[in-house]
Amino acid sequence: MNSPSPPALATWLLQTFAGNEALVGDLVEQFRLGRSAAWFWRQTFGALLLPKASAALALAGLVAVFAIGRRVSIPGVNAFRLRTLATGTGGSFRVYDIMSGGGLGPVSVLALAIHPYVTSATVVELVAALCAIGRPAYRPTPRRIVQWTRGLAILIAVIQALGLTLFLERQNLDGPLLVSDPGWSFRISAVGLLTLGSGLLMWVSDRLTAARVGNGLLMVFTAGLLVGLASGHGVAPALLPVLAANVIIAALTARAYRRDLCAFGR
Amino acid sequence: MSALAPGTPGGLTNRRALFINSEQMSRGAFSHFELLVLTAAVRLGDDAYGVTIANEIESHSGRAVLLGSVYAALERLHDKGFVTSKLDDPTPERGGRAKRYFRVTAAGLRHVREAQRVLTALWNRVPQLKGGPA
Repeated sequence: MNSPSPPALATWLLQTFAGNEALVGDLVEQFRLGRSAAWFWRQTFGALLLPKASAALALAGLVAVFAIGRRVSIPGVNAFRLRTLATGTGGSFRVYDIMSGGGLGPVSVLALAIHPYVTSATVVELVAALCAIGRPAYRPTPRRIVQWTRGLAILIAVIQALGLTLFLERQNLDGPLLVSDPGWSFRISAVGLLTLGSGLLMWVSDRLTAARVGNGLLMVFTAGLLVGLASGHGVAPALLPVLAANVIIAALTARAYRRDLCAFGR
Repeated sequence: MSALAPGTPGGLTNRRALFINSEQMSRGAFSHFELLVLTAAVRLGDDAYGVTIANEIESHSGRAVLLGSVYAALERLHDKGFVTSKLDDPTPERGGRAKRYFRVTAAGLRHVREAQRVLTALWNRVPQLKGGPA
């Protein structure tokens, strides 16, 4: 007697999207032992949707964080004057504004987004790869790579925040005051808030990776990108290759860094 | 109790120790469902694979378990080094697919024992839980 065959479409969906031979085998075995087609379909949907559901939920949460965060400008900045300045600037500024979840224009607490972490991971992964050329044993351990990446990311965040703060102060020369009370008190609080905002995103990104929800670095970057694309007036077609190149570099870096972060977490 | 006592190694007054502890905890900690899966795998021994683990949890909890959830938990436990796995030969009953058996590692067993110790110690201090199920 022929064994009953499980629903063909459900089996194909599992085979194609679940990527787990043992799971498919278990379900087929149980179906042939008398489980119903409804049971098979329920298990199929569970296997396909469960892992994606937590990632989709986390991404939606991150999008909400960027959408709200971009409305919180750092204290001491003239928001109206800032909007005029941001509208008047285009070019590469807009590309980085998009990748920052539209937070660079209004100089929000999330203006630096996750870029210091991406930049740092790119540099450290490149250095680690260069060290290992011809001598695989010389590649730094995942623990070292993660420690260097985190340390360098904070340093880059502080430097970028200071650069942005000084840039804002300099705009005071060309018209109405952009920064109401320039000086070290403004610089310190602005740098602190910008670094804290970026540091918070780095922490969230690492938590998402550690909890196996997905690639945290890529998820935070994607959420910023989605909010950035939805905000403002789009981007000039000539700059699309620049944007695409940044996205590809971030995706490759996130993939390489995830391996080290997971190995470090073991 | 003493692990978080002020002034002791790993205590709240030792910032460095606190950070190290939280990092270690996040690496070693597992969810309630992961604990169920790990405990079922310990009990099943050499016969632990997706279906038997799901059946074991279902028979004790009385609730239906998705095999996808069991495998997701097993993957996380594998990443944490609490279980290892090996593939068996493919069989016609499984549509020519191999069965993956799981075995709990020494670290996994240690974490189950630790969870049992902590939970039992906590439960013994709750008067409402004494005298069996309500």
